[in-house]
Amino acid sequence: MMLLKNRLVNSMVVSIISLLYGALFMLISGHVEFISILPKGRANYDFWEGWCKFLLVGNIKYIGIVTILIGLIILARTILTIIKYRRVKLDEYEVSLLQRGLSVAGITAILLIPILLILILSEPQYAVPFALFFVVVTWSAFALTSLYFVFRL
Amino acid sequence: MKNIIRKLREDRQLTQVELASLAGVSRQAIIAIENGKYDPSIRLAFKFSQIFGKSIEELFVEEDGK
Repeated sequence: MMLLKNRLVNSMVVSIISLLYGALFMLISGHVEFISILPKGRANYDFWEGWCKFLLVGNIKYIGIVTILIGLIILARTILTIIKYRRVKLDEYEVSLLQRGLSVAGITAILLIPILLILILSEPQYAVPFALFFVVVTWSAFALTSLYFVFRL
Repeated sequence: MKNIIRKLREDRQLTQVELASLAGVSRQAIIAIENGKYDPSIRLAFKFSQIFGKSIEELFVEEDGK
């Protein structure tokens, strides 16, 4: 709770995780071993084939770049806010908003896990693209929510 | 929960920023409280009570059936 109240700690956690995800996405983009584990067969739905092609051509590096940029913007904006308003700690209203956001993100992630499992069981050869899609969607949603939060408050 | 924070603030010719500074919260918190979107904690309600010289019961009124 104490850490949740600290604006800088919040932003640093989101930024560091964004940087890690971004670096990971850029690292696997076009990587021979990563490409070798991607499925070559047809999927039940065109969307997943499209996603797989997106990964095959290495476009995930763009998601990585955007993720890193979001992380850096969040950190920069927070530092500017602290310098401008001299307020490091979030007030009770801001904490309540943050708690609400975290709850929604947590519940969404929990609900997505069984969907991910069903998808993997229905098409096991697509397990890697499914898992990657799950990571991209959940973290992008969380990072964008954080971005909105730091500009709003 | 209904409150008369906006009315008291305007009566005293305080801006939302000034009230926020006196109460030690953000302007967004004041906006949310005045619009009834956020019910403050007892600590913050007590602070408003000190700022406006009124009791918490006078500042905040429970709405019927809520």
